[in-house]
Amino acid sequence: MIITSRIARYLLIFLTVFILAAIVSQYYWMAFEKAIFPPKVYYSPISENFVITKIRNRRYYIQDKEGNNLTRKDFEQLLPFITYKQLLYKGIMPDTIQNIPVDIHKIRANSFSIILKPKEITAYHIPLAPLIESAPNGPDLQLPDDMFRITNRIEFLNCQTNRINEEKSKLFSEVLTKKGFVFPAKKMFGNPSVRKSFDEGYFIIDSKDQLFHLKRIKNKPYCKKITLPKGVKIKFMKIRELNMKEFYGIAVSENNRLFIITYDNYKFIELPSEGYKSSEMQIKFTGDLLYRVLTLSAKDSVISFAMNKNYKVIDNFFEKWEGNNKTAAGIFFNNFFPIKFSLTDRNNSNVNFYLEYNYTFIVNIILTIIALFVLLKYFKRKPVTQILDLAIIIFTGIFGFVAVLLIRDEN
Amino acid sequence: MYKSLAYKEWLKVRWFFIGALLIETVFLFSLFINLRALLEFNAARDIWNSIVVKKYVYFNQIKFIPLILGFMIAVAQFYTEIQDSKLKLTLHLPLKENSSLLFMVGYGFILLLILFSFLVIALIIGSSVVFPAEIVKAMLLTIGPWLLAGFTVYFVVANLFIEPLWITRRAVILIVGAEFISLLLLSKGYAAYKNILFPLTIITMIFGYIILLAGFRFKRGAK
Repeated sequence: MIITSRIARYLLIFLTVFILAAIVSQYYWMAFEKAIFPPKVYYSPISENFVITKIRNRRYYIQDKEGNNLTRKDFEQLLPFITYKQLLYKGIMPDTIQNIPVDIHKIRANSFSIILKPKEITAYHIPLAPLIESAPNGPDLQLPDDMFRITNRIEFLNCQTNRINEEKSKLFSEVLTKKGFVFPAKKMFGNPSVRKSFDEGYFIIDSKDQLFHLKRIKNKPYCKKITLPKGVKIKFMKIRELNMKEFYGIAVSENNRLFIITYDNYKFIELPSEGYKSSEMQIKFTGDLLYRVLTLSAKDSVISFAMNKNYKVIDNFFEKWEGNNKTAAGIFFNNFFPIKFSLTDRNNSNVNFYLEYNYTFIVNIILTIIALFVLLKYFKRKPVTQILDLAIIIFTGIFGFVAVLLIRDEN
Repeated sequence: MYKSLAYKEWLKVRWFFIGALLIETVFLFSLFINLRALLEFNAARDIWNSIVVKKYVYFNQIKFIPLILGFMIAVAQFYTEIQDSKLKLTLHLPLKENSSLLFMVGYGFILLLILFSFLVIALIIGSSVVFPAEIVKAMLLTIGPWLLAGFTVYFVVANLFIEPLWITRRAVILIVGAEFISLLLLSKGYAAYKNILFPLTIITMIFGYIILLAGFRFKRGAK
């Protein structure tokens, strides 16, 4: 009985330590966390310099790369490809930009903005997908009546009847096999939306890590095997059908390299990816008639690359700021609470044990001495039996202290 | 001895057990009737699409059912036991230490297992009619933590009833249990807990084991 109750007690202490850590981590940061908005970075075709907007100490700044403050008016005039509506409204839209005559339709067709968050990469997907008809009879795309899965062949399931469409499954499986696809599929990436002007189907990775492009054209399969650059294993792809038809989307490799896959025979063009970590950094890739800007932002820094239309880097911008660990609240937390514990993470869509341990030496020692005093004086215990209790406090600090003193040994 | 103990437990919980089955049936009916109406008035492809692409959780109604069932069974089994300290009699039955209490908790656990199996099997059968295995599997991975929350509620409420010490132990169990349950019920979409379902199951079982500590003090008559 004594053994049982001892074990039960330590299990309860163990749970209490982590639950207290979870409660403190959550509410402490709710109370004291400072919101940090990463700067937004643009590249101006007028000044050929970066334009950066940011919020610092609750004030909004517009600056250039050198840190000179700009006004709202400057911002509008420096970025005509973004603010063209406003400039047209005021009647101050320039006639030419870098000797190119301004054409609103062209500006619109060539502007894009793609954001890829770390959460999207880890998100769970039910392994089914609709294969939209890429060459519809009318102007609009329509969701098909079936969805496909790729197991030991590709199977189309009719949504109404929940049955496999054998004929279509056979047709598509044969074509995939003929192109060298090795079943089953590991991952598939697409943009299953009908709110876009055309459809590019799916990019599928087979069990041998080969990449294939699968589309449905006039109800017939279109399949193409894509040659990957040497040594590249694809982790994630963000497919976006853009009217300019320059590339299919962004690919992130297992070792954090970034590529775009172009319409030019699926050629891979590597984007700058210095310091990029797919698990914690957000990608923002924007473009206009003349430039491309790739911004990689982490929680305490941002790096931007301005490129010309041939994806040659022409300038870059880097900024680092102090994260929440450096605020008074952060310093106090790190010196007082040894465990930061949560089941959720901003950069990951999965629930997991997100644990950060930092040894708060001084506080732990002080608490251990207090505990030793309390245990000896008030609970009149022999010190020998308390060694494990004290060891818990030495390692888990304040959480162990509260748990050990609340949940007393009563033998 | 165990046979009569089991009979005693059954006498205490039978109406609650039947009530729990009724609650499950009512909610399952509401879920599937709702699903039928959805499929009747919308194209099936739109429903599939909202589940697969937009991550619509079509069985969200049953999220709190395991909690309610766990609470009901715990109250049925242990509320009567603590009136006039009747539990003391049970604990003094000529059985090995802990065994009678473990038996009671195990009995409740198995009842819940039966109730949850009924729920899960009905959900699997009902879903398989209109959805493919991929969606059914995602559904199971999603309700996993909800079922664990149901078991945890049972263990925690039973513990609160048996525990004689107010401030120190009841408060600790209540806070630790409530927070753990809230961590099991985060709305994070399909299969978000898939990586940690096993460790969470172990932690849930620890809550069951800790009840022995309360039983120990109850028997001693700690105040």
